[in-house]
Amino acid sequence: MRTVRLSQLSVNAEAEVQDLAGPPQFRNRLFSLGITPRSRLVLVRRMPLGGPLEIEVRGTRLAIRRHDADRVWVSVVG
Amino acid sequence: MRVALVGNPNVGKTTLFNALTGAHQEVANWPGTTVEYIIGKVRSGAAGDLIELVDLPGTYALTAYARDELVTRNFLLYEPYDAVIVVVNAASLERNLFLALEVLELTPRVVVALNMVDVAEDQGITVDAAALSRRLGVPVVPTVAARGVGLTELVAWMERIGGREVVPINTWVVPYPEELREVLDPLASQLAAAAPGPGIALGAGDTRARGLTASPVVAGAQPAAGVGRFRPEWMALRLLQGDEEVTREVRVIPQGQAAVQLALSCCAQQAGVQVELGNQALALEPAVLERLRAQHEEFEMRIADAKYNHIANLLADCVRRDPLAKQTFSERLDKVLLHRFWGYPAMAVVFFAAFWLSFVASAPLSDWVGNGMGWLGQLVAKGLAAVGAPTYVQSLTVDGVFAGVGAVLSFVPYMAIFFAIYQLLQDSGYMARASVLVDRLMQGIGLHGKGFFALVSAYGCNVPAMAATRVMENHRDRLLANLVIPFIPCNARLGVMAVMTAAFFPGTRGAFVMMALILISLGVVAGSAMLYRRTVLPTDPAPLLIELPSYHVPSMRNILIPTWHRVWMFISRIWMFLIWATLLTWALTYFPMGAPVGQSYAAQVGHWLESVGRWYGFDWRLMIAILFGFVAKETTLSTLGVLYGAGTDGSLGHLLTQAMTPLVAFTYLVVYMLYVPCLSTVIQMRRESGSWRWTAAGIIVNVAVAFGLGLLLERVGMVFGLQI
Ligand SMILES: Nc1nc2c(ncn2[C@@H]2O[C@H](COP(=O)(O)OP(=O)(O)OP(=O)(O)O)[C@@H](O)[C@H]2O)c(=O)[nH]1
Ligand SMILES: [Mg+2]
Repeated sequence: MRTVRLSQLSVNAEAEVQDLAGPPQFRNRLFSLGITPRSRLVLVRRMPLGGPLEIEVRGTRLAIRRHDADRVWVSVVG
Repeated sequence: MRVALVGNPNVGKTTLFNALTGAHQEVANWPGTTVEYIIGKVRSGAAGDLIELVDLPGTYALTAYARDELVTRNFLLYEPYDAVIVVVNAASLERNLFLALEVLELTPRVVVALNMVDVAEDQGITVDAAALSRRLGVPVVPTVAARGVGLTELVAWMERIGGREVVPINTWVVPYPEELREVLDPLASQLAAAAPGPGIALGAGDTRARGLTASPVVAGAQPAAGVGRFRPEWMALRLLQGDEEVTREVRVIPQGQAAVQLALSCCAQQAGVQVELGNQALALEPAVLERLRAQHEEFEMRIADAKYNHIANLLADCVRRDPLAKQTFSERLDKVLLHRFWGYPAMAVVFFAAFWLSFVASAPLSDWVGNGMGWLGQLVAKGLAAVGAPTYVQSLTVDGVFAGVGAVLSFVPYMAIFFAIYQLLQDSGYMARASVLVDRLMQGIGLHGKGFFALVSAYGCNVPAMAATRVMENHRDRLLANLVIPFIPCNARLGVMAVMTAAFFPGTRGAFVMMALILISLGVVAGSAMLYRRTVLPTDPAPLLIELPSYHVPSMRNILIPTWHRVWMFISRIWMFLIWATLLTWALTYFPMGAPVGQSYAAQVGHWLESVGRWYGFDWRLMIAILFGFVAKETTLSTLGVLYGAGTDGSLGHLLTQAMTPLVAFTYLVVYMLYVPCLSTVIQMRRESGSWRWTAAGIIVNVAVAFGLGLLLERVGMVFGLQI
């Protein structure tokens, strides 16, 4: 199993969240949005011009900035 | 009976609220914040009009982190209510139930509204509401708020739950794993021992001091929940998660100190820290505190994890998913609207249409209102003349009172159209996507992606643009946007600029001059935003973590009701200021009685201001126009017309070109474009920033930049002997 930053995941790849870094406020926000360790997510698309990433997690679509996504470590599934 | 509506953003709370209450609503305001909540009375049902419904801002959790989420949290913690309706989106239950569990831990007086079952169905998701209700221990009512489905049942449940018919639920709500229970159980019994009775009171009962209570609880019944009384289990969870507010409050209740220490020592133990926890645990070394903090977070994560595990179990029993072959409508639309190339042109088209409709298409309406008022004024003046009223009374009526009322009312058409479109873009789900598309660019100058629409719409009118900054949840991001918005020339300013440009720079040169002006304003916006970020607001824009909801066709009612509220709020706040200001300008130009304009008080003020204007080559008339433009920029052209003695024949342009050089005119345009737009903007800025100090600072910077840059241009131009 390969562990990478969420920002490095390729489009349409499914991954499992391993670890979350960053300030408490940020992590807490991720928890309440459903991004917790062991949750599954899919990278849906990267917005153009280095913009945020769109991910699907727990049945909802979220946008997250790339440098925030750097703080989320995921392992690619399958 | 008072019932609160809570739920994630965009799940349909307001739709439900509007469907239940109709037009019987009032907007209340939280002191110190700009977030509103709305109160309405439920009209249907047996004892229908006894239910008071409160629509709270959308939230993902009940933690105390984000400032605006605090509105919902504070309401649920400290305000009186009899029941809570947790609205969840049936199509994304997994995430939505997280908040539902958090609320259930706080109070069992919950009715779950399983909304958007139609959307779920389209996505092949079937939810067994009865099973979910059994598992959660509270009623679950399937609804389609947009079509009014399920409302009767919801009201019936509200009445029963609010009327005390509550089945007590499992103490811990969520089956927390053994290792968490080992910590939680002793903590909860410690807390239970600390305060026997129905719950533990926090905040010393000073609920009034926290705001709200706009209207008294109906029917005189003692409300059942909220008001700062909590179950020990809930408090144990909060203490373990290191909730600062709760910890602070628990400390002051009898024996609370002991509970706080117990929580801390649990953390210390788990973190492997050896500390002696005296009465003042706060005096610990930073390094140790850091580790305790990390342990609190660890607990927080494990608690969240346990909730999601519980939810996964619930859903396994209650939700059936039929895999869909075809893509959902939202996915197909996003293929275009979020396309790496087509996304931007599409956004330009949407925003241009929004802009055009609100500020260009509405112009005739505004004119009609203005002309109508003028006509009415003339009519009244004629009447007054007929009964022999003195001339100054006639002038006061026409140029003072009616002009003032006209100034207020001419705002209404584009405010109404703008807010309606704004609401449409929000509700449909497009605004979230547009914010995401431009976030990177906005970040480059220190602004938040969600502020983009506000900045774009500032070209129409700064006032509603400031109101539109409210989508940003972070206070600093909002403040920054409000500080830079006045640098963006609004419709009224652009109009004046166009007339002057046409007079001084005929033909193609005019287009270039206009373009140069716009570029200057863009530069000033970007520069000042970056400067504010570096100096007084030194943080990055708040993380952009937003949901991209499925697209919806918003309902008419959902658009009209908030539009009406916003327009009304604007009018009711602004009219006094505008009318007084108009009366003042009238008096200044009219008195001393019988004197020509050149000797009026206004002219005297202008001559006095000319000492500043001389630096720029502005004569007293231009200075007066700048000053009076503050009341409403729309009046600038007519002020200049009066001062230069131009008739209505369009000779103003000619007169202006004789009065100054193109360089002076260009300088004037720059100053005019940048300096504080108008009184209404200042009032709106005060309202959005919540502080007179920030408002004053913003205006001082604004005026300084406008005049500073003007001077610079003038001097540089002189040096180069520029004749543009
Ligand atoms: N298809 C469908 N659409 C709905 C339903 N309920 C609400 N909507 C739509 O969903 C969108 C969002 O609804 P709102 O009522 O504004 O959501 P909210 O929960 O008040 O959102 P916030 O105030 O941002 O937290 C609107 O466009 C509604 O028309 C429903 O049951 N079915
Ligand atoms: Mg709402």
